[in-house]
Amino acid sequence: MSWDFLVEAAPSMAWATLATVWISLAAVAVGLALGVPLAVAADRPWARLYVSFFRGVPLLIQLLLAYYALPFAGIDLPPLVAAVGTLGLCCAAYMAEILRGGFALVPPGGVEAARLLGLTRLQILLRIRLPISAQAMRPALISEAIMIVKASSLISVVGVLELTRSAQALASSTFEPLPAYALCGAIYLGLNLLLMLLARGRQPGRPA
Amino acid sequence: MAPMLAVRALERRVGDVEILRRIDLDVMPGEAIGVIGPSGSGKSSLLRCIAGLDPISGGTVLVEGRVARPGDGAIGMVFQQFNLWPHLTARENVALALRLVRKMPAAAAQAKAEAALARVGLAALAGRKPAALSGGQQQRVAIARTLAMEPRVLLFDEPTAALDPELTTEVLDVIRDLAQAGTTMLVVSHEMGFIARLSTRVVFLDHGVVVQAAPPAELFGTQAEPRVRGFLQTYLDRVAWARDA
Repeated sequence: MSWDFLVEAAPSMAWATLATVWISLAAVAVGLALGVPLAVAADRPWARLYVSFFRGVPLLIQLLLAYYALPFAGIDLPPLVAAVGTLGLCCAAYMAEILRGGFALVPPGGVEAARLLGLTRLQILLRIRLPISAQAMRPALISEAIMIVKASSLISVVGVLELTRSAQALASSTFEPLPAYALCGAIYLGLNLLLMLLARGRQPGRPA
Repeated sequence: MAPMLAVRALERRVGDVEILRRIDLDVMPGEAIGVIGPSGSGKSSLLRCIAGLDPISGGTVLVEGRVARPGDGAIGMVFQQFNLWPHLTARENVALALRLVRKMPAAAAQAKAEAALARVGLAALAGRKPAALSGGQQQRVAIARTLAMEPRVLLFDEPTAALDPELTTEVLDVIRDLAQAGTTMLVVSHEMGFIARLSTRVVFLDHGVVVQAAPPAELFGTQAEPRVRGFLQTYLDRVAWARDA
């Protein structure tokens, strides 16, 4: 990888990295926001259907469906919104499963005590169940965030300019595919190493 | 005088199994009722139905003439397994419901939590999380958490069953102090000596039925029903065995 190549690649790849970061952040935010109610309602048929669909159909197909099928239904979304939305909806299905497992670790007695003291269901969720299970769920949730960073490369197929799409453009404009994709891979690796550090940052507390 | 707690024809069924059968119980203000009986007799179910944690199949439970609802301060319950929240300190465990349910400002909730902890002798450990407390201390925090909400009736569901004999004493002392201060309470326990000394009346449950409800002097004395006497004899045998050994 030559110095000249890096100088030429830097501006577009830097922007593309930022795009990948915020697309991933947005998708994880959507995933968590929808994952919590999905986990709470895990036994309801609609929640099971949702989780089965988004875990069972390849993300690439989901993206293509959102891109090509939604306009037929009269829903015309900008590609970026459709892509981030689909990524977030898919992420929610996986998050819901992680959260469901985490909630199962919360001793029912702690929830009963809270109920009896008069806490609402939402208060119990936010103040008791989530914090108690958060420590145990953190590695799995961060793994899911890493999967999302990598899966965001798939949204290049619907024309959203992010890291992979930029690397493709760089490869064809410079006729140097190898350094373009090597740089792209290295940036993904760097981003995910940061996430892994976050996962290891604190040792889990002793269970009570 | 009207009863503080009125249980009328209380029934609980799960499928075909009758857990509680037409339980009638009036508890006067300031009374301490001991509830004893073999495992599976419905003691814990009775408390859980009174607290509203388990649904009842029939009958009524009234506190001062009204149906109690969680958080209205009518009924407080202390559990066998303490049920503290492990991510919060003792102080936060006690203060959380004061803030979220009673809508007290944070500083006032903290102050009240510390007062409740002082009452159970734990003022110095308010900043510790449950994992850094002994079982007896955890149970006293749980008692403080319940006391802070100022319930009119306190329920203790085998509060010392998870504790060794030394730690049991410190928890029983707190419960005895509360009873002497006039707290209306129901206590399910296998600590027969404690129940005998604490209670104004003792209820013996078997197969979901009240077999006998009487002052401790009667129930633990010669006026015990045969089924009650048989149950108590196993305790006396054990004490005798320990003395012989």
